[in-house]
Amino acid sequence: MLTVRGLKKSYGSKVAVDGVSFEIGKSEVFAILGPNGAGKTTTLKCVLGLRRPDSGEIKLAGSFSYLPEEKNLYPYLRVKDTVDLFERIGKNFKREKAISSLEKYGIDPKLKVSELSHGMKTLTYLSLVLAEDVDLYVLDEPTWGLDPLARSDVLNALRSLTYEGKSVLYTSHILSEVEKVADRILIMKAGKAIIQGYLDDVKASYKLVVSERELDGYLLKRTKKELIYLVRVDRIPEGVEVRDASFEEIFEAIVRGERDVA
Amino acid sequence: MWRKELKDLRTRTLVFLFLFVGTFIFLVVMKDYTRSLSELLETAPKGLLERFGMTEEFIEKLGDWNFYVTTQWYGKNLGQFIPLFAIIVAFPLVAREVENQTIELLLARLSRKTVFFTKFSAPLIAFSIVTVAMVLLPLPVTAFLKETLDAGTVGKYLVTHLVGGILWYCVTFFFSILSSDQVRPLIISLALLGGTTTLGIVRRLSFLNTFAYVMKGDPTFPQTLGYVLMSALIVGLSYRIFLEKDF
Repeated sequence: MLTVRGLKKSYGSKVAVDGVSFEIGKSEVFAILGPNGAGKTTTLKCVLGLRRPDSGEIKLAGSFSYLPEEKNLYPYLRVKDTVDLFERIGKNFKREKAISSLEKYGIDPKLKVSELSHGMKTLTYLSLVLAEDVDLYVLDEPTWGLDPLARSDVLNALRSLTYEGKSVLYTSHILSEVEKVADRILIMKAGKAIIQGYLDDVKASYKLVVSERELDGYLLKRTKKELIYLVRVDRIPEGVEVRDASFEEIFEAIVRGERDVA
Repeated sequence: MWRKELKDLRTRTLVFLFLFVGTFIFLVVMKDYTRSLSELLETAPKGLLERFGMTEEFIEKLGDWNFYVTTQWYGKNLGQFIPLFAIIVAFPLVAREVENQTIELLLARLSRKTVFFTKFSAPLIAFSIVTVAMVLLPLPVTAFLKETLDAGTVGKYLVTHLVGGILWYCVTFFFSILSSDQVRPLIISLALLGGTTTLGIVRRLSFLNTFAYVMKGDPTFPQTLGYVLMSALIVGLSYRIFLEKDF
């Protein structure tokens, strides 16, 4: 569905994306994770053609829809006018699906977009994007600012897209939801792809190691007596205490870690 | 997207339309008071009004409908507003979408080419319709008042108003593409209009004075062609930039 190879993008002297590669297959949910400024949004925008990569190759086979990080619709339009706009410019837009989704979330089509709360605006934008019948949904922080019920509902909707043969590429800061819906993940830091793979494989590939000396791994915590590292299972030294690592610990260790390559 | 663009334009266009029509009605009403200017001329300090072109002869000529409409409507009120109208229509076209981050909504669904040409064309058509309507407005009024107005002169003003207005529309649209906020293209275009008009006072640089071109109503071929080519060049450059720009 989507192949990205050696993607690089700089803004002046600042390198935003540095040689990132990944692939997304059909019926797959692929999540890009990383701290603020890691290059997630720039990666998405390069994939969509909103920003021109400095180098690299992007192959997108099929149609896509996009939910940006800032859920900005036209504030002076009413929700129903926005639906009309999507009907005219959207990709294979299913009006009935959008209307039924808006009804489900209790959004009055007569309201102006400027009268919607942040969460309602996100749900409106999501309803419109998910009503486009495309092959790949590119969603930048789709659940940010939503209440737990709405978030759960959106995650179910994303998951169900894959049952229809659709693919999803999305970014998130919320690790628990990534664990819930993502098939594969890519963790980015300072523009680089640090780890990627199937979520279960990633979780199985790392363990927490408690040691009194420095190890070849990502330092997660430092106590008075011990150092706690996240270490690849094939690099765990003998004679150390080993614990299972949660996904949150893996992410935190990689993002805050004192080295970049595991 | 055409409908959205026209909806975006509605307020600005209607404000200018009412302003133009209101000014023209005011001018028509004021024509009967031109005679009182002669009395003013007698009471005013000698030479003061002449310095501003208000000679006895000029005031007498104002009694003639053709002269009155030509000098006061095309050569003053409408002519002065046309470049400003073009700038006001064009300045937010792309910059507002970038500032409000709604450009992503459009570019994720439409090709850059479609977005560019719709954003450029829809307001340009609205601008041209209003301009043509305002230039032709005196014709039916002339017929209604049973006066005479030289159609050839109206035709010449139609050319200068459209060519001069479209040039400033293109210039402002160019800055709207370059800018990520709405204020900058407005300020730069107004400054450029003021700057080129001032420089145009110098005889050798008179081609820069677009105000004079618009209000004089004498579309010489080289100047008209120069402005048309300049507009085309700016549109071409704007298109190239729009295709390559990061959003």
